[in-house]
Amino acid sequence: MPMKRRVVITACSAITPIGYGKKNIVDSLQQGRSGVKPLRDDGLLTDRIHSRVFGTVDYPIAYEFTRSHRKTMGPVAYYACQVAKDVLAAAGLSQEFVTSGRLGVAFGSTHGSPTIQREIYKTFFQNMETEFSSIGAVDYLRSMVHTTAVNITRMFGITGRVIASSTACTTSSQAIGFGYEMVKYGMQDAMLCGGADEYDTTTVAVFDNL
Amino acid sequence: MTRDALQEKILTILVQDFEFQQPGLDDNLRDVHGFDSIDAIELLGKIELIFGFSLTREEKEKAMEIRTINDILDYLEKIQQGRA
Repeated sequence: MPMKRRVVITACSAITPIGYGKKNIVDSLQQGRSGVKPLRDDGLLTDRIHSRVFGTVDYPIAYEFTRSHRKTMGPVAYYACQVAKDVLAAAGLSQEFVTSGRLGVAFGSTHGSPTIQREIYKTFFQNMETEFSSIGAVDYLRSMVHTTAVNITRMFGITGRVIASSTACTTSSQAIGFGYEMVKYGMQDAMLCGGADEYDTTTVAVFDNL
Repeated sequence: MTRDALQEKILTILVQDFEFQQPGLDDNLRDVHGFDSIDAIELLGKIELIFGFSLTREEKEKAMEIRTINDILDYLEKIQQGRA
């Protein structure tokens, strides 16, 4: 008989097009404030796709990440690490617990960082006159689809299980489900769960004909 | 390029791109500034841009012995001499 434990949610946070944190998000919902805006011209795809609108985070957030952490982060990891920081503080977990191996991470993303991927592909497809590459050593770490989970573990020293879901719109809910199972069946005592995506017109474009 | 010119370029990169605070020429890069192996690869890419040519595998492997900024400058001077 597998061990079955009750699972509780002890903290939550979100950075969204309609606000950062519960209060701002609820305020926007109650006031009918939309985060959807006209599509931004990306100089590549904007004129070729049907979608004319998008939603993204376009307000400033005071991140306080050191360079040693920032160097492996694209925009998507900034969102992920900021909310991870919020929930670790709100849940009141000690540093000892966070790094004990009893806390794991289930955190995902649909595409990783398309902003960074765009730069990588620009390098691939431009007519380079020189041999030396402008693709940096950290560009993969910044762009990869599991970048959110990896950067969270790296930043906070989390040594438990790491699961990176990537199932489009269900990425975050699947991560929460993985976390639930990890705790319920005693594999981990706590899980930090969620998902993040950043805006890029390439992401809009791949869904354009759906 | 003279050693002084190389030093100026390297210090600019270390301060601006790697956010070194008050770099000393004989500081241990890892212990004092948290410079790791990924940073080293990034720096080699920037060195290629300074020189305007790609480093060979052998040249890159020699960079593994670097521990200080003075080591970087010695390394760059040797590469310049080897290519002259």
